[in-house]
Formats: sequence, C-alpha cells, structure tokens
Amino acid sequence: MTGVAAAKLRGYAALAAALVWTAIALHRPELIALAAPFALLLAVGLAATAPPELSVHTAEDELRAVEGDTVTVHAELSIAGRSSGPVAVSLHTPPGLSASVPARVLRLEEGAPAELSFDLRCERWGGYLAGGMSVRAVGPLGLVRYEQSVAPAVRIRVYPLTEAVQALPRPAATHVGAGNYVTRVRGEGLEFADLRPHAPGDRLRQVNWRVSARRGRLHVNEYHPERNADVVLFLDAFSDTSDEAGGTIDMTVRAASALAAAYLRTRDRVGIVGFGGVLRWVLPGTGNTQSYRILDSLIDTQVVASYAWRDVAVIPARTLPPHALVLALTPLADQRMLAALVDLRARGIDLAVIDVSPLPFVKPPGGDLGDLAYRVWRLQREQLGSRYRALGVPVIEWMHGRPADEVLAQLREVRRYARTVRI
Amino acid sequence: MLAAAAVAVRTATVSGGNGRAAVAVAAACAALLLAAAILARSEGAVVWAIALQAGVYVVALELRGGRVDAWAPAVAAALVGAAELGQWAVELARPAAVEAGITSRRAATILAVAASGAGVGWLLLLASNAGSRSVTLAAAGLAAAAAAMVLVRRLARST
Repeated sequence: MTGVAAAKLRGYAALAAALVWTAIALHRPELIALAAPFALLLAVGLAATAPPELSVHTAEDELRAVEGDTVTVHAELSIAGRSSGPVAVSLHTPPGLSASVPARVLRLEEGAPAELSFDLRCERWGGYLAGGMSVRAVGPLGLVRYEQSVAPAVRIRVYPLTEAVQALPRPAATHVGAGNYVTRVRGEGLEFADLRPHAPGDRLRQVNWRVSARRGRLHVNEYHPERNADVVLFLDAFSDTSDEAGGTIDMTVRAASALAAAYLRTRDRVGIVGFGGVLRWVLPGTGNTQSYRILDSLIDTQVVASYAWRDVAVIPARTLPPHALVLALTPLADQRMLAALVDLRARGIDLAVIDVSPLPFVKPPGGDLGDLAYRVWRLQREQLGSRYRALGVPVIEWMHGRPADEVLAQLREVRRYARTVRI
Repeated sequence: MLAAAAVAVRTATVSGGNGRAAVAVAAACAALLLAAAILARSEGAVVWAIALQAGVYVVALELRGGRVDAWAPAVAAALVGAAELGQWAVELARPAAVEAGITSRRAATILAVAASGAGVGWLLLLASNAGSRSVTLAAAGLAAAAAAMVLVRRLARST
C-alpha cells in the first residue's frame, strides 16, 4: 500500500512550529499552550502509525443482467497484522452502471475478514468491466493514509430491455426445417390442405375415414408443411448520431435485440452481421443459446472509427445463407454501408432496410449556409431512399420515439404488396 | 462550527485597545472561511482556516498586552476540536455506509485529543508561571503532559 500524508499532517506541523516560534519571539507562553494539542496529536499519531497489509478478493467473475436490474458485487477484505484505523473501500463504477452507496467504511481485525457487497444498478446495455476499488486505510488520528487500488475483474453483461414485437416481416423464401411459416406446398405438417384418393405408399394414419366411408373409396388428408427461414440482421456500426435522449446505435441495438428474440421465438434461424470499423458476425442458428450469442454480440456493438474501405466481400459466406431475409438497420450515413446494401441486392438477396433516422439527434446548424447544408443533407437522404426503392428494396424510416412494432408492421405491409424486382 | 465560533468570540473579547473591532471582524472571517472550506469539501482549506483563526488569536494576544490569557488552553482545545470535526464533516460529505461503532469511537477520540491538549496546555502554562519559583511544580507539569500523551496514544491504538 502507498502511504500518503494527509493534508492535516502538514498543516498541523506547520501550525505547531509557527506557534512555538512565535511564542519564543513574542515571549508569550499562551502560544505554547495553543501549539500543545496539535503537537500532541502529531506525536501520538505518527508514533502509532504502521502500514497495514490489506488484501481484497472479488467473489464473482461474470454477472449478467438486463437494463434496470440491480446486480451485487461481493468482495472479501482482510488485513494482516494489527488494525490501525477504519478502512474505506470505494467502488469504481463505469459509465452505464451506478451504485447507490459506492463506499463502505469499516473496521478490520486480523483473522476476521469482512464481507462487502455493493449493489450496482444497470443503467444502460453494454459490456462492462467492474469491481475496481480503491481501498484507503487511515492511520491513527488520520495523519497518514494508505491507499491501494484493486483492478476491475468482474465482467458485467447488461442486455438491452427489448420491446416486444409482433409484426415480423415474413421472409420471401423458407427452407426445410420445422418452423411457424405455413407453406403453400403439400407435405407433412399440421395445417389441413386438401383431400385426395389414396395412393400406394400413403400411411394409414393419413386416411380420412369419414370421407372414405361416404365416397366408398379410400381418401387421405394432405397438409401444408411448416417451415422456417433464415434471417440475418445487418447492423450499421460505422457511425453513431446521438444526444442525451438516445442515438442511432442505441436504437439499432434495441431493435436488433427485439427482432432476434421475436424471430427465434418463431423458430427461425437468426444471424447477425455488425458491419462497421470492426466486423462482427454470428452465424445463423436457433434456440436459446443462439439468443445469448446474439445478445453478447450486440452489447459489444460500438463505433470503431475506420477510414478503410469495406465491402461485402469481407463478410464470411456462411453468414449470409441463400434465400435469407436480410434486415438492414442503418442510419444511411456511411458510403460503405450504402455500397454494401446495393451489392447485397445485386446478388439477389431478399433485403429490407430500416432507416434508423438520425434526424431527431441532429441539431440544425445556424445561419443561411448551415440551413442550406441541412436541407441538402435531408434531400440526399430522401434521394437515397428512392434509389433503394427503385432497386426493389423497401426502406422504412424509423424516428426516435416511434414504436418498433409499428415500423415493422409498415415494413411487412410494404413487402406484402410490393412487386418483387428480379435483378 | 460551534467550536470555531467560540474561538472567534474569545479572540474578540481577549483583545483590547483600538484594534478590537478589526480583530473581531478577522476572527469572524476565519470562522466563515472554515464554514466555506467544509462546504467546499476541502480538507486542506479546513487546516488553513484553523491556522488563520490561531493567527488572529495571536494578534489579539499582542493587542491585549503583557497579561497572560489563562483561557489559552481552552482556545487550543476548541481549535483542535474545530479542525478535527471540520475534517470529519468533509469526509461525511462523501456518500459511504459507515459501520456501526466507528462514529462513536471517532467522536470519543476527538474529545480525548481536545481534552488532553487542553490539559497539557494548562500544565505548560502553570509550569511557565511557576518555573522561576518551583522546579518540582515544573517537573509535575511535564509528567502530567507525558501521562496525557500515553493516554491519547492508547486511545489512538484502539481507534
């Protein structure tokens, strides 16, 4: 531990010395009496000071929570040797986490370790490294402080609080695999499709006995098979436009989290591509494990500044399976993302774009020139939307405050009635 | 703040002559500075405010003349008490959960330090007055001072 002289050590010493010298100079014994308590405190305090040997161990390695939850970080504090005074333990909280009581003051005795617990409220989604502490042991009478830093060692994963979405855009193509989409073809399934005369090879359980009895000939039921689809969430992590109320990355992550949860509930295979300065991906998959894989990938989403050109060629082929529905969430701000979306569409991928609008987070610049620039920028954004629509890519603008479900319902309707453009 | 105010009052009353009003104003200013230091959560400023109060008291003694102020040890105890309580107030401004028993021990230590300091001061004053007349009395004063130190040290170890 590092010993640091408290402010009062220097102050009391200077005061006592000054009073003694003044007493001698002015021949006033009262000043000696005035210096006496300060000198006494210094003498006793310094004589009894000894550096303590403290050790701190955090109990957890990793914690998981949802936004708004409170997690508890436990630590054990022990001392070797004689206890000198109270020990103050302060927990460092990274932005996004907050502690109602970030410090504890306690007394320690050798052989009796103290259990500490700090409640941390998870304010915002993200991956955090917490558990860093400052331990400060005060010597007798508080003249010397011994300080020790404990490096953060508890990884806290805070998942975004997701909005429940119902109106999911339906993929244009499905593939073999049990899911919730009832297909038009006939085969094994639950949804009744039609009746047909029995043919060799039909199973006995398919025979519709009532119809067979009425018609005097064996008839079997036919069904529509239930299929699932591949959905890839294509996230733009090139830029973030934000203010105190939120930002485009925040909206993107929340929407992606809600979409992934909803598609996984319908037994679709869901994958993630975080397209930005750092490329992140999760191969399409299904099930609870996949939902945690996706969430873990999402909470690490952040803007990493990069000027290197990046196109879809860098994305692993398995990440974008054939016939997958690619839902792009982008503020349509970076040329690399715009080029990648055009490239995806040119490859015949079923693409839909949710334009996470940065407009609510942009303060229009003042002056005529600033106003002109702002209007030109808005026109460029509108022109970009038109360009995608011309390619057969539906683009739905999502403004901050608008429910995601409403945006998705609009997207689903557009995709239902829009003519598919074949390139 | 009560201890600082008591020192300011004593400083104002102990001085004499034309500078009495100026000393009273300076003593009040020093007490206000202590309040400001506590509000500003600055431990260093608390010590300097106490030093200023002690300085004003020295000026007041000089204005008083040759007579010895028998209440000087009480002023010293009030000063050290104000300094320690001021530092404590600064520490309390930081949000922290304090274990039961620490507060009472600290309060007892501050009281003991102030009382011991006052006791030592009185003994020193007594020794200085009787120094030319009785060597035995001076030796008794020194022994009492040493005993006070031992007492405070024992208290400090238990804190």
